[in-house]
Amino acid sequence: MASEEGGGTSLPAEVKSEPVDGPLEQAPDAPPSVPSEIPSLAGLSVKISESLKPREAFNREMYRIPSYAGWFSWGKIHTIERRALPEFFDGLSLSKTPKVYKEYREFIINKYRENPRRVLTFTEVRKMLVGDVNLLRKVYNFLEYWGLINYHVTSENKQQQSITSGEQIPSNHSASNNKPKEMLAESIAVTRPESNTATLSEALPQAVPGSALSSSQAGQPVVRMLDQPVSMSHATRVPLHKDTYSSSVVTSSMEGIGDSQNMANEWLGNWTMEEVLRLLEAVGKFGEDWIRVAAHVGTKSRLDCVLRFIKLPFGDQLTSNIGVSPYPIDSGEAIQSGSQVGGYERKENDFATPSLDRDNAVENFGSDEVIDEPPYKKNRLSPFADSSNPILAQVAFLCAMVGPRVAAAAAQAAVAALAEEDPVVYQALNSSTNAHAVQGGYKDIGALSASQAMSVKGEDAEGEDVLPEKGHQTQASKDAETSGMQARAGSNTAVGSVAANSKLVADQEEREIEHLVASILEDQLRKLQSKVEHYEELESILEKEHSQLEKARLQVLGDWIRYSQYHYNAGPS
Amino acid sequence: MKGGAHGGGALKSNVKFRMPTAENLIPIRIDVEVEGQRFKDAFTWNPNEPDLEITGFARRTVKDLNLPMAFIPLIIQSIQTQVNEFRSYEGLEMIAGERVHCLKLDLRVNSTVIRDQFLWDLGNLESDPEEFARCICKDLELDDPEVGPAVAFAIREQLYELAVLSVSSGRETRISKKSRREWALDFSQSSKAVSAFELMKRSSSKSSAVRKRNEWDFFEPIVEILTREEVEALEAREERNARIKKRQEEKDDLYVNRYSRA
Repeated sequence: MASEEGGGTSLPAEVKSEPVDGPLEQAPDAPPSVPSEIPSLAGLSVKISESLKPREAFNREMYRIPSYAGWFSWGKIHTIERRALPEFFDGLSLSKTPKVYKEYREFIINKYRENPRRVLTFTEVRKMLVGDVNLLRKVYNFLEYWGLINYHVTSENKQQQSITSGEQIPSNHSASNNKPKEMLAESIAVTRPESNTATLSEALPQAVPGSALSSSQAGQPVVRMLDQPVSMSHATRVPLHKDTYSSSVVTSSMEGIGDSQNMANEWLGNWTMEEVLRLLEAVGKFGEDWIRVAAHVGTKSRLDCVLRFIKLPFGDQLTSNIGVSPYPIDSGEAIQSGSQVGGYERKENDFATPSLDRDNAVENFGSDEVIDEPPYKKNRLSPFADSSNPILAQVAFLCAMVGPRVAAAAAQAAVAALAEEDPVVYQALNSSTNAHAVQGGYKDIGALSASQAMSVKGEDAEGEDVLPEKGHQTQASKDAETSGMQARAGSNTAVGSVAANSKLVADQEEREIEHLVASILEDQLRKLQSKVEHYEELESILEKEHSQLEKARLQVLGDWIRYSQYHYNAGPS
Repeated sequence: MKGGAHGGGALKSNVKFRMPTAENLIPIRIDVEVEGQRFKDAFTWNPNEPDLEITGFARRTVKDLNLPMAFIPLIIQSIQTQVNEFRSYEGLEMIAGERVHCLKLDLRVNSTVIRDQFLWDLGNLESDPEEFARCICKDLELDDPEVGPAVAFAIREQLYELAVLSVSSGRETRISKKSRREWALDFSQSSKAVSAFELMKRSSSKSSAVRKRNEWDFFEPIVEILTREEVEALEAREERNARIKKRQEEKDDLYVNRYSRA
């Protein structure tokens, strides 16, 4: 079922007939003889190891493959292979058959095992195999992914060892090597090394320089490689009776974070710190005029400058923001405190070219930033967006809309205006001594404002004078403190100004309310007044009527009297 | 099952014309001259971009390289012509299925000279010249960052020409003389798409997937790093050759036009 189709010849024989000449540094009885004994040669070497004497083991050259590749077997094609490389198994093409696949696979693996310590590059392989290079590439990638080739166990073990024993690993390894990380990401079954770390440790220091080289620059030609093949055999010999497959794939990705110390010393090639520093200053001053930048840096060509610049983690953002701040930016603080404060360094980096004049700044920067590969940059667009304060959220949103340049300019202008208005604020932002005084009142808020860099520059000069000799740590902490102060001062100012504005608005509202109420009252009064007038009119009319009626009554009375008088006069006769 | 999969013939479904790569990007070559200044460039272009982008691109290029403004219309024209040419093929159908060609690299980028050949399946629409170029540069540790794109471009150019060939079987096309000369396309061999079977046969009598040892060197990249003087000498020679060629071409054209009215 899993075996070849369309072939017909028995596979093992064919594979073994592969002539393996060429330079063999070890294991003279190389692959052809071994696999016939063991179904899965390298992976599960536990059984064999016990039966073999160390010398034989040495000769047999244990090939290590990671435990998650344990499914691999010479004679068969596994489902994983079928799924990953379907072109060979769908029967559509004469040149892509399972038989051909097996040939490719075995050839590549054998080629690798001729010299397992070096990295087998694709270019070497493809010259020796007939077929579409893209397809070959897929097979090669597949084998490498599963650790069947180019699996450098010593490098992984070394990582773990060096973390426990404090060995220094060349920074190149951590910065530029992606493979261990890949393996980490995809490794399924990870077993802990219960190996004899004591004996391994003696072997590994020797293997360290060599294998470090090998894994740091994949594609190293075979020539320039390990000069301690002996140590390798130690490593293979020792843990024969234990399951030693390293879980230290995990650790290899952690070393990048732990070794920021070394990153400070050499950074991506042969750029020293001073050169990087000069580069950044030059870019801040000259923008994208690479001729002047290269002149400023001095030791690096134009091309190198550009390359190095784009490799900087924030390079992308900077190029669009050069020239915003007219100050000779000296804001190592900004970056440093940014990375310490956490989460907002992107916003800060938006406009400040850091002059990394403190190792610590570089280290923090290096360790935080270098690990953050460019894709992460894009995710951090609105740093304040998750702030609980809705006003700041609005500000953040607006800033994100207009772009970092405008936002920075606006922020600068705002702070300048504020500083003018309020001398206290100005002081707080601009002097370090006051920062200490201010310290008492501030709590840790953890947000940076763009004014940071501007104000920090004054503080920087002081900071440098004050502690020229002290260790980086103390200096850094002081700077961190004061810059933290600055941060708090700045943020409080921002919040304060917002509060002031809102109070003004509230006052205005009150006044309006009063005004409205007054007008209501007025209207009511007028209404009353008109009513009163009305009634008065009524009264006067009534009075008139009353007087008229009086008159009428009097008249009637008069008439009666006259009538009765007349009657009396005419009556008694 | 014996003849069923012969050269993938049983399941030949045709595909619309496009670059046989994962990303449909076409190679654009620019070689314009204005008042004695010559501008040569080569890059990949996405034919789905609106044509307005061409103008913007030309402008930006001229600005970045501080060229005189007179270059802009020439560049635009050149790009547009090539894009249009590509578009004119777009409606046609390409043969699908496996067709393996031997691509060659023979180029010089600054001080790096690369010569190489390798097999490439035109029917593999997921192929990636950029990835291949990256791999070469990494494996050979070439640190000039311009080499990768140049290699990818060279591959793309050849793929393009071959794709055009495969389409134009029913259509009369003139591959420009220039490219024919430059690439020395060996028509006798490569114009026929090599089927997989033949490929196997050719490589070894056992029809093994492993190449014969004596052929290994042919299919390996040969890289030379030249010193500055060599580079300068080479450039001077190339320029002289180019001038001579141009004159030759003009003469040829004249001859062709004059004497081949039939």
